[in-house]
Amino acid sequence: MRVEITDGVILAAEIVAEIKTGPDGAVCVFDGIVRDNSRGRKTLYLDYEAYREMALEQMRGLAGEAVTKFGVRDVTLVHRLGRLFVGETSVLVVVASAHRGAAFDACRWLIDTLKKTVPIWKKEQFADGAVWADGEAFPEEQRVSGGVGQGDGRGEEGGRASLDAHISESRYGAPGSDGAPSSVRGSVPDSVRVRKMEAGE
Amino acid sequence: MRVCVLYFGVLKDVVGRGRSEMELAEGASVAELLEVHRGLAKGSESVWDSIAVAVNQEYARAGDVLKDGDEVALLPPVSGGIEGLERYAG
Repeated sequence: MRVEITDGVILAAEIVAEIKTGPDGAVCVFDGIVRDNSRGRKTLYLDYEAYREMALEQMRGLAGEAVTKFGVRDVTLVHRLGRLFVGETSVLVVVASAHRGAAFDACRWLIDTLKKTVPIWKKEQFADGAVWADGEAFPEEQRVSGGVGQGDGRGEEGGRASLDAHISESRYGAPGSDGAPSSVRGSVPDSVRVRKMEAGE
Repeated sequence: MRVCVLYFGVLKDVVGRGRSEMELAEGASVAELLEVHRGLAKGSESVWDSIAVAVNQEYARAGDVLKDGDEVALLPPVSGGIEGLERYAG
């Protein structure tokens, strides 16, 4: 299995050619490229950043899980970081298998799961401003849910298994509640302050 | 005990830095660390509602107890790959 996070161009055609072997009857490729627009705004470029070591470890885990779960022969997962322009490949998923069904299924599962669980973020730069792209809610397995918001009397709504479930405002306590638990003495410097992100930044 | 906290994506903008060192009482949990951070984002409290937390690069739960030297990463919903929705922060 080839799993990489790179700062350079992803050479998709070469990577796809490399995976093929005799027993393979199917190679399924997902080539994720930068689109020139988002919600009606013209995209100039995307800046990708990652929690690099963890992202790579998560990607390795997904590649291995895909082989086990779908019985495919081999998987390649490559994600690029840094500034990417329209048409460039940001993520490449390649699955080789004896039969197409498993290859399609594994490829789809890999990109969908990667987008929800691998710690990579992108900031979209438009002609008139920049925004961090909104991610999907974390699946239950990755959520920090459980036991937060203690003492606010609102309880806890853990156990929601739906992938698109939204986490309620009450999960970490009432908005504005800034009474830190007595066992914690935060030493974040005064220089730490709120900075709103605005269009035109 | 001392832990290193890492901020990613929109959280880096909200907090104004990529990392900080925090002094915590022995036995402090992930939830308690988060509670300290809530106060740092006045006006943007909702940003904390959808995050995940990784301790030493493994996804963690709110009740997990931290120990000296831990690397705690605060992770907004991820948006790697392609497509996806967008929203304005703040």
